[in-house]
Amino acid sequence: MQELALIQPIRAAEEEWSRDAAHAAKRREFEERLTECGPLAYRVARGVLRNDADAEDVAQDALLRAYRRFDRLRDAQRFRGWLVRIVFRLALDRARSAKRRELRETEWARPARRPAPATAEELAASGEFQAHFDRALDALPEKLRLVLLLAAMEGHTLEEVADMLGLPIGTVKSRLFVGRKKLAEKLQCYVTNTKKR
Amino acid sequence: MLCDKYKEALMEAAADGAALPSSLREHVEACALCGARLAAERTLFAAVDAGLHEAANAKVHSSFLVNVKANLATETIPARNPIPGWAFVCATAAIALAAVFLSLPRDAHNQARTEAITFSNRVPTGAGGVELSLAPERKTRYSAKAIGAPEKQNLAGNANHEPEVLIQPEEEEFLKRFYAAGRSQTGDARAVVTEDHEVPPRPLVIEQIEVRDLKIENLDEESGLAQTGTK
Repeated sequence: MQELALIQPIRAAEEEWSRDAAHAAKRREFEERLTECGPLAYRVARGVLRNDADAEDVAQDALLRAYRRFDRLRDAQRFRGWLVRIVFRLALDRARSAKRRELRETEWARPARRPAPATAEELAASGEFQAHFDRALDALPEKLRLVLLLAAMEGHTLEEVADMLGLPIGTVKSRLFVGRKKLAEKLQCYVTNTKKR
Repeated sequence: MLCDKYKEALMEAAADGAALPSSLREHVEACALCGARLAAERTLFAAVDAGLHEAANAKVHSSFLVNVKANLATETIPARNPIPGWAFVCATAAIALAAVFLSLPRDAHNQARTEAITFSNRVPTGAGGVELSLAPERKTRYSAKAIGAPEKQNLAGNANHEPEVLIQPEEEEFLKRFYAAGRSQTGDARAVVTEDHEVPPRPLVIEQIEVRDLKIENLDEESGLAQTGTK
């Protein structure tokens, strides 16, 4: 004997219809924000990874995650800061795993050492300054690095950065000052060593 | 030695980008070494800012947003559980507490009953009074349950007004789609159904019965029956 199911078709249809409508509304709202915040997500990822392909990959991943968890965001005004933190975390994870992979590979195939440039001018001309800058930026604490990146982005005032990160403006200014100073110290040391050689 | 105390101040002045304090400015104007150091610090901070600007303002490819939107289109959102996880924890704790509270009076009750039986065995006269005093308590408890049951049924019945349909399981999805399609095309299907039901019934018109006088006629004589008349 075949089993029969007892259903309430009107209620089930209403539930399905309201669920579809809610999804459509959510997607529309997210896409509106995407136009404004998509480039921000990409730039944060690019600032950490400094690689276009990786940055695009991570930013897409972060945006999809944000979309899936969009209904958990209680305060819609906090979307930018929330997204920035997701992207920054994912980018840091990606950078760490890339560093581990690079370490493993260099253990087996260490590249031949090239002669160091004699002066700071040669250093800048050889393009190694940017590489050293990247390393110095990577070595900074995360909280300083995020503030430096967001403050350096075009169109972001310090008040906006503070609002995005949920920090007092004084804290943002202090982190910015300390971050730049640490970067300068690391680069100065490198330049001095190069001069001495 | 004299210039070393200005080293930190020079670096901070270069980092700030602000005008130098008067004492520092005088020293920098007088000391060529500190002047060169200040210039080097300013160059360094300019390079740092340029590096940060380069790192933070990468050009976004036009295909990036297109790709993200395409991925969003294929993304399915998992249905969120309307009951959060902590609700289960709270419910479990509440059930456990209720079980503890329910078990306490029963133990006391059993203990009292055991004492009563022991007492009745020892003292036959008047022992029935103790047992009788326990009996109404039990009766009251069961009667409360019996009264409560139909009320719950009524509440459940009132909360669910939707019609139920008995169908084969494989037809369930089609039926849901049918109703959903009907709803999306013509609006609220239920409203249509309700309107049909709410058409006021027409009053039944019964034509007036005409009562005529009875005519008495003579029947055929061959039948031999007597004639009777009523009005």
